[in-house]
Amino acid sequence: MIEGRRANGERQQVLLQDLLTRCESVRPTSVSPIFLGVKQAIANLRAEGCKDGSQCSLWVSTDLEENGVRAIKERIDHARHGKEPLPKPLYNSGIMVTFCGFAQTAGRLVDPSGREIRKAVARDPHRDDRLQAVWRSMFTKPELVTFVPYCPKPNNLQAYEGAAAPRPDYRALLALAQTLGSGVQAHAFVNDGVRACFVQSLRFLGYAVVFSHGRDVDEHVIAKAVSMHHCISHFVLASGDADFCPLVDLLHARGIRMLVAAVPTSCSRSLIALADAYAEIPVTSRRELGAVRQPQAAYSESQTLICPVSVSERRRCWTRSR
Amino acid sequence: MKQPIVILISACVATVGFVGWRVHEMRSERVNHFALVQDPSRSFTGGCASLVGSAEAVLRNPGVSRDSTLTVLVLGDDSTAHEPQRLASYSIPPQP
Repeated sequence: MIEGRRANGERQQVLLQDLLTRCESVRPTSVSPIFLGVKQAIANLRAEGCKDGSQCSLWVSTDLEENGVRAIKERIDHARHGKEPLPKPLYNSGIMVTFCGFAQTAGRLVDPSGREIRKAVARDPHRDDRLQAVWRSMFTKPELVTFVPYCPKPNNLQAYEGAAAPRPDYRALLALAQTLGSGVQAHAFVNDGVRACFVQSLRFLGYAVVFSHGRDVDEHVIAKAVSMHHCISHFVLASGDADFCPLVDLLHARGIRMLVAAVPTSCSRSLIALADAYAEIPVTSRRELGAVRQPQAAYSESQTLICPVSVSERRRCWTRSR
Repeated sequence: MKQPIVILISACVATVGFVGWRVHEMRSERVNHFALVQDPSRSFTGGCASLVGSAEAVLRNPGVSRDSTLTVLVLGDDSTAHEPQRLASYSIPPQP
């Protein structure tokens, strides 16, 4: 009995670890088609077997700022009747809907490079009320809809982060680059918050670590690539960020072959299409990494750049770099 | 001679009745299912912690039963024509 309870607890932990890993592979977006997401989630619950008398449950983690359906956005922004009719209310009998996190919203929206895209509409109590009223009206059973300003905090997020979730295998990544050329320079671009032991381990593996004092490292990656373009034949980019597409174009124009190594679920299709070759980034588990462990926020923004150069040209390149 | 037969018939009827009742109960047992929707937009600052926190809340739900499932969707964007994508689907382990 005790073993069974422990086994179930472990299974739940594995589930939450897996969920966290998958979630972290999702790229941030600039749109929030919340209504469509909720609609499909309810349809999926119905397909699973939720009926009128069921006690099924749907949790939606969002700030409620719909911008996929214009009619809903109009109602949220203006409180009056909009020009476009609202979609048909969702049939949620037997399904409890909880919207959590409507207070967890950003005042300014920034793109991956840290540039401000636009300022969000300032919130006041009226807007909060309006958000809830509009969303409540989008269901046939509004009494089954609840709003929680902050989503529940995980009991032990660090334990899930510290699990044996796959992480880039930097040693294998370097070995991958070494198959392309004899003289390889490897640069790891890291942002604030990366642990010193992780930086040391990167240096130990042979990476030159470049710090970016801020959330974003893209500009440093581009600057380094441009500064080295004259002396490299291949370029391995360990990132799936579509923002690097212009860089790929630029290096192609210089006759440099591009290899993109990235996690398949979070790699831009346009980046893959532009690259000469694509490889899934080699991964390892954190347990294998041993003491090497970095904060997740730092990992998600870190980029690794590897530049293989030919032996004959390596000396010239390094001399110029200095 | 009659008494054992009556007892035997009664026992058979009781057994058949009990089995039938259990089969009926199992077939009509209500299974609750659960879903999570995550908003990955830059305006929402809850991040993955909010999703995991919500998942924990689901796992603690008293309505969870042996065959309950948890489906996780993530909101779409232009690359998916705004359609949400299924991030994962799990059968929920019973509460420890």
